[in-house]
Amino acid sequence: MAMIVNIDVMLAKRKMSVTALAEEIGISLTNLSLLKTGKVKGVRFATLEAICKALDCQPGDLLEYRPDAVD
Amino acid sequence: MKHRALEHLLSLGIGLVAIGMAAGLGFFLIAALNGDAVQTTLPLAIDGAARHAVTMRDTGAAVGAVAGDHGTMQVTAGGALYRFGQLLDIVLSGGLLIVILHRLRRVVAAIAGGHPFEHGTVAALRMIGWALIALNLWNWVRILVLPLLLLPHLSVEGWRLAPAIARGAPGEHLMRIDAHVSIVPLLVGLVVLVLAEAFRAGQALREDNEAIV
Repeated sequence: MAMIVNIDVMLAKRKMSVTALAEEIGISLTNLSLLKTGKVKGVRFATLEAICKALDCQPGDLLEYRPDAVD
Repeated sequence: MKHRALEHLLSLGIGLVAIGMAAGLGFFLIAALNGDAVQTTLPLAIDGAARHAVTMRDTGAAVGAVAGDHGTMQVTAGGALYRFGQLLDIVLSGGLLIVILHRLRRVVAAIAGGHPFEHGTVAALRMIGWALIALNLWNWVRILVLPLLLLPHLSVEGWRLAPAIARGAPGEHLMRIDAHVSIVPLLVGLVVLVLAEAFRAGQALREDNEAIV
């Protein structure tokens, strides 16, 4: 998919683990890992809002559109 | 009705159909081994049967007529083709009923388990729909073929035996083998097929929903 999820970049910048983020935003580690690797069909605004709040960032910091990207 | 009760009811239905099928096959085999002829009962519509006037008790005025124009005819037939048809009827009708009840029990179990929109449910509903249609078509074939097999070999003195749609000449006594053609299972089968498509759409929606975090 042409949508790239940069959660791991933001996690590294904030020095936060995936487990800690999953606990803070209240979704399962499995679902967060799927989101992190771009293996989901969509993200709810509520989830995006919770991630932005936890990582203190904007949606644009987490999502990137790259036309040439493939699965 | 609770899911569990419905599942038990369907299991009971499967058991009863299986027992009926086994009994039918048993009678068939015993008759075949003994060389007995197979007996069947045909519904009759009798044209020109005696009519009796219906009158008012007080005034004696005629208000209608009652006619004993329906009956049954017991036929004992022993032909190999007829015997084969009877065996096919037992296996096909019983088998299709068991398939329908079994798949219905699977659908009920999926609903009880809280996951109705699954591929298994869609496949089961499709099978039920096609089985109902097949059952209805088989009944039509049976109703149409049975008189064709028997009529050339039968005669009743003073009467003309004919298929259901025959028309008698004036003054002729006509016995028609009655055909009750039902389309209800066909319609129910079509409804179930539409329902299966609705469940398939539900399955797609569920899968989409599961892929959103």
